[in-house]
Amino acid sequence: MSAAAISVRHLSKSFPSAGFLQGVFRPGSAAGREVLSDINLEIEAGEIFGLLGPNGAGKTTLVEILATLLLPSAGEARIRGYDVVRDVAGTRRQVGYCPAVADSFYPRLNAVENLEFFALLHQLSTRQAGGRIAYLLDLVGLAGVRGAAFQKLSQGMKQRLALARALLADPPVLLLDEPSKSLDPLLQIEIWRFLRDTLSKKMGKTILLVTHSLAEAASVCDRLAIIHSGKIVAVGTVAEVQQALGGGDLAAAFERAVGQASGDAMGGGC
Amino acid sequence: MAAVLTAWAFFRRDFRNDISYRLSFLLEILNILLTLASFYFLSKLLGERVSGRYAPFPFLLLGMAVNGYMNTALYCFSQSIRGNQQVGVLKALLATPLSPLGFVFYSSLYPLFRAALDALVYLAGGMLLGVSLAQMNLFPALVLFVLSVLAFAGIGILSATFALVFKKGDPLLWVVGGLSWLLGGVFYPLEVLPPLLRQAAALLPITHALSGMRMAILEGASLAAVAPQIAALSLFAAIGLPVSLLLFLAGMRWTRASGSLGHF
Repeated sequence: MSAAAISVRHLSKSFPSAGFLQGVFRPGSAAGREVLSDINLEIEAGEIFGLLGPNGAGKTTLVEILATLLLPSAGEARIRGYDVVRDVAGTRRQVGYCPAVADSFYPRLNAVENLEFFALLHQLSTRQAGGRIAYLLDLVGLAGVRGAAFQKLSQGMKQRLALARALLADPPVLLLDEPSKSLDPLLQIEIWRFLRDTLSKKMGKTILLVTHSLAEAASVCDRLAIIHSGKIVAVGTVAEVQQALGGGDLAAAFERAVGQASGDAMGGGC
Repeated sequence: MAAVLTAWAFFRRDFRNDISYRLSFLLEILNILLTLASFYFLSKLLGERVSGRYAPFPFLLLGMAVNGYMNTALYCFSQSIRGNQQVGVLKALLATPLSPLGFVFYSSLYPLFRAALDALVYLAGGMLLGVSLAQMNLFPALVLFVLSVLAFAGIGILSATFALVFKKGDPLLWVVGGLSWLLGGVFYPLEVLPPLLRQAAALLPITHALSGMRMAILEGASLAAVAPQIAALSLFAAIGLPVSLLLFLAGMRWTRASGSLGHF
């Protein structure tokens, strides 16, 4: 068992170019476009770790592999020692997953009804679920709209409801894919504070946070990795990443990292 | 206990969703009653007996009731995949400790319950229009109901695999549904079909479900009397269910490899 909360070793992912039948009966023939290449990460318990990168860098692919929704092509990943491919059920019990799309609830059910459904799938009893949902709705500031149909909630409320769902089973590890994406600046700051002060410091959760936002990464994360074209180009604390990429602020470092990796990729192709 | 909680979660979700469309819920029942009334008057044109055994209206009544729950059993599995994909819930749902097979099984509970209720509405409506169910033998009817749902489910799960992999489950169901409509004996007895088509009808589960149900409900046939139908439906279920479940698991693995779980 690894001591790290999340451990990723030599992980690669290619989306197959072949069809279903060819993929099932001749798995080797199905290799195609590579979206993650030889990823190595160790994330300690209680750490907030940011995955920062441009669109299409492979951030969501990595998170979906850790959430057991995607199969890696090579390498391995473990969450608190559970192999994400071989022990899917064990992994899922360790993880709260918040997808990038906030519209991931039943539109005609209200906030409580939606959470009740997912709570029972996590094997909370009806009584436990009631208490936990009331607590979480209060925690994410949605107690006032508990009876409102999901489709009538604002985008920010939907995002916070998705965060509440990820916390239903009180998992030690949270995989959050752009949880503050559609929020106004004030709500963003509130969510960042919630992640840092409540979830990380008070509750001791390990958080893998996918983000496009340099401000979010700088403000919330203990460490971060810059990922571009499926490869990690820098990893460490904000200061370490800035230093490793030639100094300046995070924006300048990010621009250099992404530009350099693009240049390498283009150079390699010539 | 865990299974009961999960079953309750799915059942309550679907029930809540269903009654949120209150008018539609009532209109569906009204639609059954209006359809029944139409067939009641139509049956008056058909003479005294169908196939020498049944009066026309009870014959049609059973045909519609069984065809109704067959359609539900065929469609509910692919609907659960596509419905959850369309509202964006499938990934969040499959990130919980629920297994893919559990997802398929639990998703079918409420639709099948509704289909059984609809079948009861058909029978109650039929009784109001003068059909006597006094001879009904309940136990064989229940055994046939369960076995026919299992037999139909094999095709339904296959269709869900199509929905998962090819993002379209309907072509398979159109073929099976259309053939069942044409050859299964829903509206007319098999005796009116040419011999070749009658043989083809034996390859459809609805043919056996319908003939067994008519015998148990309208004639009070015993378990022994409907043994051939029970054997045929058991065979369909015994072959269809494992094959379709294996294919479904392969399809699920494929979508996890290809990254198309949420696509539709």
